[in-house]
Amino acid sequence: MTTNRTLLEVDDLKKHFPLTEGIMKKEIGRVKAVDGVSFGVEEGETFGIVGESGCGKSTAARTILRLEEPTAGSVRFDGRDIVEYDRSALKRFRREAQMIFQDPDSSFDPRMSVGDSIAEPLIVHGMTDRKRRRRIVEQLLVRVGLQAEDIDRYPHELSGGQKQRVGLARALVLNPRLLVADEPVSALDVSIQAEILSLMDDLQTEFGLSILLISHNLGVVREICDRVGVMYLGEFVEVGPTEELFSDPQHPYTRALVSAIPSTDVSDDSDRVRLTGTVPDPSNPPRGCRFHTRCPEVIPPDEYVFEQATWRSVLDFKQRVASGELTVERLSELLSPEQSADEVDVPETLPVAKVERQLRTEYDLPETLEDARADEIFTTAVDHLANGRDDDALEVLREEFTTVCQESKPDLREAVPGHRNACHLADDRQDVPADELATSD
Amino acid sequence: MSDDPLLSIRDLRTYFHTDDGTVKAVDGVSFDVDRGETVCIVGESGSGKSVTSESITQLIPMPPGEIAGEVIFDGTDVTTLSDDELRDLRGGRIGHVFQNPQGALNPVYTVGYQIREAIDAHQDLTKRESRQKAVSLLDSVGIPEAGNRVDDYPHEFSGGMKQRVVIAIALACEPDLLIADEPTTALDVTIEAQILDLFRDLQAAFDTSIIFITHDLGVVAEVADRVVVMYAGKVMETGTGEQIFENPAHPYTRALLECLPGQPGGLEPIPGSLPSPINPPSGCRFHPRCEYAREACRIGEQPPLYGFDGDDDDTGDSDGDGDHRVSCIHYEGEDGELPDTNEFSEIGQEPGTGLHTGGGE
Repeated sequence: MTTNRTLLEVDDLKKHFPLTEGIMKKEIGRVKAVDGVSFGVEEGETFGIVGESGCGKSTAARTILRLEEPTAGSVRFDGRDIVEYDRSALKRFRREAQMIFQDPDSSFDPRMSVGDSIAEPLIVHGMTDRKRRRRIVEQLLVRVGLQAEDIDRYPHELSGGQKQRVGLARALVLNPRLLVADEPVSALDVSIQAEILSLMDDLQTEFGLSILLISHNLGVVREICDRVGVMYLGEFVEVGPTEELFSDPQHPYTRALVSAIPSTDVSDDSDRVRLTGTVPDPSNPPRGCRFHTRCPEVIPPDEYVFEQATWRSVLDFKQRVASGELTVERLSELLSPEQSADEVDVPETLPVAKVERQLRTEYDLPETLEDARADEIFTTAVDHLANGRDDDALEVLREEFTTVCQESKPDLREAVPGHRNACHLADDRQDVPADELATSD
Repeated sequence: MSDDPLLSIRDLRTYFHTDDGTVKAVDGVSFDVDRGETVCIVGESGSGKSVTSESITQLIPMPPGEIAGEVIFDGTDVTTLSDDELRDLRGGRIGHVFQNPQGALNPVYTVGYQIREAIDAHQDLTKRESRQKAVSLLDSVGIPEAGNRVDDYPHEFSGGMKQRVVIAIALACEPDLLIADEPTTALDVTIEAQILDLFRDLQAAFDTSIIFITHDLGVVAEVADRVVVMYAGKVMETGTGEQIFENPAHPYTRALLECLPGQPGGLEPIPGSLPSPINPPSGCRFHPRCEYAREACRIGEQPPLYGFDGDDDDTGDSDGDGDHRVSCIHYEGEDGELPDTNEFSEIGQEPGTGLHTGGGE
């Protein structure tokens, strides 16, 4: 179906929103909603972007359509950069690239009939022949599975699925080459989702459309996309052909996402990867690999012997110490949760053994860590904490418990042709000799 | 603890009288919920699944609503209770979790205050005790540092965390029954998985019965002990999770399973749309959209729930006690009829083969 001719080419696209303060609007930080994504969409191809809410996928879509001005990077549509478009070129672009939205209830003017809504783009782009407009709209309504008579009905008379069909008709009325669909079915029932998805599939074949699909539903993406990019905190962590990506996910984040899909296979009791915590603040993303704060496969340092799960817990502990939240006050609350800190006097120091036991249960750590030296460091850190020396505790942990995932940022590189992946684990396996990664003692 | 089910719904009918006619949102629904069991009600929007759950504690506005039938909760018929007794039941022995945590929490009160509100409505505790209880509830739904978060406002929590708070409120009085109406629909898939785990853990810890309402069959497979499939106000099929997913019997259940995106075999949308709730079709309500429909399906009433024992032996407790039941005339009678359904399903797999002729004579 695809012609191998690239219609849309996105290169290192960035969209940052400044955080300002005061009447002078001094910039105090930036939300890096999209922070360097690159991909191409071929003619007739469906490319999907998946990720959790807040990962920047919708901003990416809006920036690609130049509904937001990109901060950096380029978006080439049919070979020309859309940022350099002048007025008339932009108008043509607006004809060739269309969008459908998530919520069909709020994407129509309730006072305009279905026909008027669909015909509006035709008027905007200069079709003055009323009869001809009506004929086109009627044909299109039939094409999206409605009836020509529906042209005079109003949005409130239609069900959610029917409204989304009208949304498709409105997007297709100008005969676009690119359709950007932002969560087109997530507001719909499962059975209606299936209808809309197969309709999109049919229309794509018929009109030779390229589709950019944004969704958090991996089932939907798997159903209709040819290629998929997995986005996390404004960056792609993995890009590859759909089936390959789902059957053999390379990045730990993709693995976690795929394993979180509720499955109808009741006999499948395999251990699922569970992500803890939520997406970090995009104005202050973690150093190194942005996923390392939640990654279940984060790489342990070579000097120590760690079970993977224990290492994850140790890092969780380190992150909490780094956040400065484990003060003596908080620890005393942990020890006796029934008392509010405001109601009792907080002692200067706490019994180290008790704190250690409590923290070990809190973080699912064994009685003693497998590695004697690591255990010693942990005990030292807890001792510092219990005596109110938070900074010392952090310094000990920072110095000893390091991970390459936090130290350096993995590149998005091609492991197999057409399949890119940004993870140190993959680097390790593929082309970097193991001893090069090992830090010398 | 007795062997009687905790909740027993018999012939529940919830009608709404509107200007256009009577909407029969729930029309003769019966099912049981055992102690410590999770029952999932699945169906499309408009199938009556939410109204069913809201009828249990009579959360629907009356009038225009009207509830008939029996709702026996722990030996008492809830439909005969006075308003005061009902108020004790709601949030006391029966807790509710709603779909949108954003809308279920009041933005101007701390979450601790809102949990304590639920506790104080039903229990006589001192301020200090109820605060402790709120903290331990937040802790049990997996909110880290509960002691500090208890004084935070809803906007300081993420969506998944807010849903945990809503669950904590529902659990405040250690309910025997928890009714969760699409509790994960508004959440991301990773957060959804966390919340589903939480429900499982809480059930194991408190031995709570759960009614879980969802349109997502994937979620059903994750949590359900038993499943009730609803369509247009009627129960189409009931059975254990395994029975429903390994041997879906009703054509509607099969159709629902086939339209899940991302499954092997491709999408198979259900033709047609939901019937009008004011003037539903006669016979089986699914017949206008059913490829197995024959003349007998179009007349009379919805078929009764026939026992189905076509499950493989290894799916367990299906033999004899008839807990897999299906409202479809193709399953009428004893085992003799079963080859028929196999024949049907084989025909159904060949595209374009008209099934109306298959059973229509």
